Amino acid sequence: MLFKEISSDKATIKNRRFNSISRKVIGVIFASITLILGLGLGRHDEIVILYWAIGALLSWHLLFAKVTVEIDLSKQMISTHVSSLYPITKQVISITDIKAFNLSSDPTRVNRYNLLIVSNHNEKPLRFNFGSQAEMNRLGQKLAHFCGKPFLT
Amino acid sequence: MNYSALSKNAKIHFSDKYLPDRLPLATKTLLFIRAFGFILTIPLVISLFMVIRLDGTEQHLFISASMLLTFAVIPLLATKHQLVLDTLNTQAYLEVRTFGIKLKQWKSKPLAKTEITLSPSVHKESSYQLIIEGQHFVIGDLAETEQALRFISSHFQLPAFEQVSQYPEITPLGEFKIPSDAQAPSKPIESLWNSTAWLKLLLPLPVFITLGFVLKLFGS
Repeated sequence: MLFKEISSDKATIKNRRFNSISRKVIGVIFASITLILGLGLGRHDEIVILYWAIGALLSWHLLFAKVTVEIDLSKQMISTHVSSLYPITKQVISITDIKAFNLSSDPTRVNRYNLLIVSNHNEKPLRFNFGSQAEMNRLGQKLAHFCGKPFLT
Repeated sequence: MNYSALSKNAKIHFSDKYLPDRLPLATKTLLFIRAFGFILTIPLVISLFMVIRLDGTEQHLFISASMLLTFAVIPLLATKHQLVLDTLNTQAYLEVRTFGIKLKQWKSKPLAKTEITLSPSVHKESSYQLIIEGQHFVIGDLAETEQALRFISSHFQLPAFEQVSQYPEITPLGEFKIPSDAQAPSKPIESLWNSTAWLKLLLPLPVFITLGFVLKLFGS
């Protein structure tokens, strides 16, 4: 996860280039396998078509799924969009509601830390991002500095 | 407050060996030194085993290896790197001791300026920690952590703070109360992945199934 400032009041969070390229390469391999298998579908039963369709769906999402995170200080919004050539889901967080950013270890995984958004004490903190401790520390510090909120560790 | 009233989790961090006068607290560096010492005991045990099993020049090699490792392991395990709260000269300082001999003492600070803070722990949900001079001591639930905080701050006259009742801010410890929901909750943030989003992921599937049937027709 890389934090990138576009202008003084706009920023995005992006995947590392190595990660996105390697996912694209795996997606292309997967897609070509499904394509070759698809040409031989005539020799198989109907149920095999369903398996093939699930494989094709997987390679579609590997190739096209995209998460964009935009931080806009002029609108005071952090918006997350998930799309895969068609829009899937979105989430809008108002920066004025955020009290602080926090780091916490994930109880279900070893060496995975969650970057949390603390909005209210009686409310459960929202999991914003996850990764290794060092990576989340770096991202959280930059994000908190950009939004002008405290980062708790 | 009495030492015996402290909870078991707090007694792990705070021993009563020197208590009326001094309280040594293990620093993070001490844990690293200990861990390194324990890891080095594994090759030590292996080379001692080899000394018994082998003869001749091979035995000499393992004798020298085990001597080297012994000289490394014993000082490592006997070293103590600790933060000491001292009532005799009312100071808090870091010190290094080997075999009980004080080698070095630094970062002395009067006790009245040493802050002790209670805050939620990062590592485990609903567990709390005490922070003294940048050293973290994860204790347990709120009640026993608060008890330990009150014991240490009253015994050593440390200024006490807490980070719980007004969560992100650090405030002086006063009448301590568990945060209430006095604030009107703002509009809750919707989670990113709900059931509609998962269903939308399956949206291209019917298209692929029809495509599969078309390909089957052409193939046969």
